[in-house]
Amino acid sequence: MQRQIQMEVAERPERGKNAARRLRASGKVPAIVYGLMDEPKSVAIDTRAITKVLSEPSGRNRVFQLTGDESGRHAMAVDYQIDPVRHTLLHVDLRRIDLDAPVRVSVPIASVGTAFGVKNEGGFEEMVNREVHVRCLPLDIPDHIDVDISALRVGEAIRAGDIPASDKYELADDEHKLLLHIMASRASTAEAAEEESEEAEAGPDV
Amino acid sequence: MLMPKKTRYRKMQRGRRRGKAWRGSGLDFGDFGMKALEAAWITDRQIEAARIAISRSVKRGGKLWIRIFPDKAISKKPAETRMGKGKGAPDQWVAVVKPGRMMFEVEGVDEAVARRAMELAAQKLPIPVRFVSRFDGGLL
Repeated sequence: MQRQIQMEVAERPERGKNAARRLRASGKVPAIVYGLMDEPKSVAIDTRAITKVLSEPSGRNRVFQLTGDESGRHAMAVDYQIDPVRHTLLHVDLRRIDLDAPVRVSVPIASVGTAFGVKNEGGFEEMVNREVHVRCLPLDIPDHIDVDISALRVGEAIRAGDIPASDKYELADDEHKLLLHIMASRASTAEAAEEESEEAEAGPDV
Repeated sequence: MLMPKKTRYRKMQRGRRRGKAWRGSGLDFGDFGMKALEAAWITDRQIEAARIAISRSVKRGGKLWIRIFPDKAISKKPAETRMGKGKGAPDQWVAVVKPGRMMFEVEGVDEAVARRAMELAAQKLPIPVRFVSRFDGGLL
């Protein structure tokens, strides 16, 4: 079961870029809370606290128990903007959630083991999609979904339909969606080509 | 060298390079990347030199993505030519890069190998850059 994180939100009366800049300078980040058929509310959150949560690999799927002006509500961070150079948080979108209603979230995929194709055939693992959409209750969202890739050879792939089934979540994605595959590295293909050319040069014995 | 296959007009105006790269600034493909910290025109030759440096450094392992494309034609007048008589002939192609732009990404190699490859590639570019990793635990 996922732990809930207490997050204090304070309503912000001022709007606009200048007020937002002053807010960021004071160690807060502007945010908005919306959803559950209620009025959207502009709020401010402590930058350090929210950054710490969102920096985790599955931080976007954390359930916040809001305190302060939205006390008693639960929310999830559905989007955030960062500064492209400084990588600091600029704004956060929080969506109110009902803990008893399932949500559709994207969960990171974690590959377990080293693929046979990487170990023995000189290939490398390429992640095409790093996340898969699942539907589950907010407190049952997995941190990540482990996928065993140890038997994969070069040219073989893991698709969304291959992820292990669980009673906690159900797949909410196309089951044919490619997640990762083992590619032949350019070095290994070059070696194979060289071997082939050497064999060709030797020619058949007459 | 990279260049567009076909363009509507041969010559362009210079334009401005204000602001940051709000798009194309994330690690979208690979595990490691090189991010621009200043604005610049990166020429097709510089991109090619950086690509070769990365490719040789990782010894043809892994996969490389080049996330900038030189689609801007830069014209130049010949040497010792009097001013006037129209705009010069197209001379080179450049990519307009703003601070924050992810220029190269790699996958399928260790962090130390990727870091070394990016360091070598950075030597071929006219601007300061930053190495970024998916495993640093940041917001990227």
